Amino acid sequence: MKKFIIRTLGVSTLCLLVCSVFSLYSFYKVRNHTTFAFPKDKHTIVIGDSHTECSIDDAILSNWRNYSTSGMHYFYINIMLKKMLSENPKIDSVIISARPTSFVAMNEKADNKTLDHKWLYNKSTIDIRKSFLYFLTVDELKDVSQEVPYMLFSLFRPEDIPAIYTKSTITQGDLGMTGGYLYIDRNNLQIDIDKHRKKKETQLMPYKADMQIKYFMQIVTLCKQKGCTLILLDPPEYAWEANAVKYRDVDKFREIFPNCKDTLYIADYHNYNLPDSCYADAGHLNYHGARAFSQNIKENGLIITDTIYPIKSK
Amino acid sequence: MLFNSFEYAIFLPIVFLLYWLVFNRSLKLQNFFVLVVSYIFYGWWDWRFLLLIAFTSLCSFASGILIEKFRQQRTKARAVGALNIVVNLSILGLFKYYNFFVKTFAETFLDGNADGFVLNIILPVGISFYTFQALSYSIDVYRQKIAATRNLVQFMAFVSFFPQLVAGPIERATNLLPQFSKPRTFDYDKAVDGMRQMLWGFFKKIVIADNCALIANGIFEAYEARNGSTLLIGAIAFTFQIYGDFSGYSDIAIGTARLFGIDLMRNFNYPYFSRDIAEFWRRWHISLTTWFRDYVYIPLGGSRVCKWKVVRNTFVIFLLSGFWHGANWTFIAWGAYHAVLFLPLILLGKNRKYTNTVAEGRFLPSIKEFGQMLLTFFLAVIGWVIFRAETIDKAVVYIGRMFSQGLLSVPSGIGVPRQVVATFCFIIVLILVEWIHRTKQFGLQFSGRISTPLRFGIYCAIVLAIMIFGRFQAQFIYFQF
Repeated sequence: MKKFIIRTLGVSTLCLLVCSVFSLYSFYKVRNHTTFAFPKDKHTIVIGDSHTECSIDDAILSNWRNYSTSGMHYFYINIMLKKMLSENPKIDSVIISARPTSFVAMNEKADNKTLDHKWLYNKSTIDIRKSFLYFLTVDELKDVSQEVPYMLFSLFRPEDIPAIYTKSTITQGDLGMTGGYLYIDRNNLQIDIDKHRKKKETQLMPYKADMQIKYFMQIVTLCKQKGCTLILLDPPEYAWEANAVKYRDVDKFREIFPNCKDTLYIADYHNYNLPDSCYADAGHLNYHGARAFSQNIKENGLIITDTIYPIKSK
Repeated sequence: MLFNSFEYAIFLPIVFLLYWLVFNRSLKLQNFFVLVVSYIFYGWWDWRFLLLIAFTSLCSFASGILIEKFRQQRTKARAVGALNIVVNLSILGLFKYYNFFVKTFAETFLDGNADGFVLNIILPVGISFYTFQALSYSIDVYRQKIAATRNLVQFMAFVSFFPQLVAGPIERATNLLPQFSKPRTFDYDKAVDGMRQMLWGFFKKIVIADNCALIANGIFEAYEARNGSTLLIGAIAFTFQIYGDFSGYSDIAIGTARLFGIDLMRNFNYPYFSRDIAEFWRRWHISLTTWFRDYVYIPLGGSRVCKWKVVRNTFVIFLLSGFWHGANWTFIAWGAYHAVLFLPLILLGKNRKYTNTVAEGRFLPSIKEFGQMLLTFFLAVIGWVIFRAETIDKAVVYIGRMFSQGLLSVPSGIGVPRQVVATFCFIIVLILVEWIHRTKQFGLQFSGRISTPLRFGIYCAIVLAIMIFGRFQAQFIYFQF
């Protein structure tokens, strides 16, 4: 028994040591040798969730670069933006995906953490988000450890990124942090409409995503410091989805940002009309929709609307 | 509690140390401790369903005693046994199959409107496993293969023994129950072997299965937009996912049990190295296959009856086996598909043609053996598409598209190429290691003495692979069954 325990502890220690060496090396290499620089002709970056991911075709908008990724929390957007803005001084505009539901949502369970957890920590995407953790500040680390302690475990796991061991300079692409425009070739609108018809009415409760709001405010401050225009983009959605009460509690949205009227620009396209063939589903555009929407922006510019705040023009 | 969770990493060492250092002074105490920790293990998921396990255990325990009491009055003994079967299967039916039958009935006769009849209930994890285990006990008592136990703690520990409680192997009372009635002493070699088996199980689950799941899920979800070669990759990925997931769970369960001085039955014997479907079924989910063989197939007459009854019996066990997996027509179709493949072999008397290990005494198989293994593997792959698809229609479309002209085109839309390449490299490692050790109980069971540095190097490499490429916290597929 004693022999077994000693040997098991010995093997476990050895394995831990080997993993720690790889982890520390990954940590050092990623943190100190990663570049966030991108082509100089791009001065507008789009960085958001699946809604901007599917709606902005940056091949049409030549000076734009879409960095969006599905389910992106502002926590991660903030990390990326800090690196991007410091390495790319030419960026003058930042467009982030924002809808009322990004901050406040209606759900059957009034749980403030649900919304944060949905984006901050998702079992299926944790490994994709892992490399973000290497860039955390101490405060951010504290937030993560309080919110989702399990995420810290990822820091002790070495990365499965060959570039760490083979390249002197690591790029965002190597880390899987590039995101981009998502070309969707499907139209499931009718399926969503059918589901919507069958859906039973349930009691919905409003709740706030505190971490989302906190890091959103940090993005606002960051853009202000760097002299960048920050625009919140609410891309087109199918009519009933766009106007569903659970998604459009505008009053709550307004309550969150009472002091940002002078620094935030809102491009609210949620009611922008597109043919049914342009939707991948009720909440997202497919590539037809992305082309039509991006072409519209190219021709008319991004219209700053007054749905939520007073009219501003860019 | 999941084997691949942080909670289990804390739970297992504590239980292990208490078991051997504190509760080893008395067998009664040790069994009681096993029972308590098994209930904690299960209750971690949902404590309310502990009542269900306790009820199932009590029913079978009481039925065992009554059957023995009425040994001379065969009708009464049979009635008690039948009642126990009905009660246990009713519970299983209610939780697992009731909604399926109601919905099927409504779709057939009521224009699909089953509102008001459908129950809003959760499927208790592992219900099929422990129900079958408890049933086997009372049947074996009735058949006088085992004496009824009067020790309730022992019996409840047998039904709920935590390593195999939620996903098998489905143990037989004749094997496991006597082990709870004998004092257990710590066996170093057995414990070390158990640790190795657990490590190999974790590798199969966390590295192979969970990475394959990413590929397979992505392809199965959008199969209509994928070409034939991509769909084939998706099907192969699921084939290894389900093997890694389930046999990985079995390895962890058997390995854990060995740490506690308990030997569980083998559940997998390298099924993808089979030369025909009959051999595949002797090597896949052995505890369930033999359960159906002993308690359904043989009582129906097995293969020693007229031909049409052989056909009937074959279909009965395969359809039941499919239905056991879940309340969906795809599982039944999967069972029927395998019955169709199995039937010619049994009718021609060739179902026991391959009972030895493939390429025994040689490193490489002959060309014929290789071809047979490849064919059996692809037949299994097609079966897994039926098993994995949401509906039979979707399975048919998937298989149809898989064998279209697109089979020769370049795969597309299969996720991050680096991860896909890494996953298939690990699948090759799995195949190689298991091929080399195909005569052993599990892939990492070393033959002969190998040097300590090499052994430690292998352990470190596997742990590193798990830490770097592993995906944690993913549910085991077979929990839902």
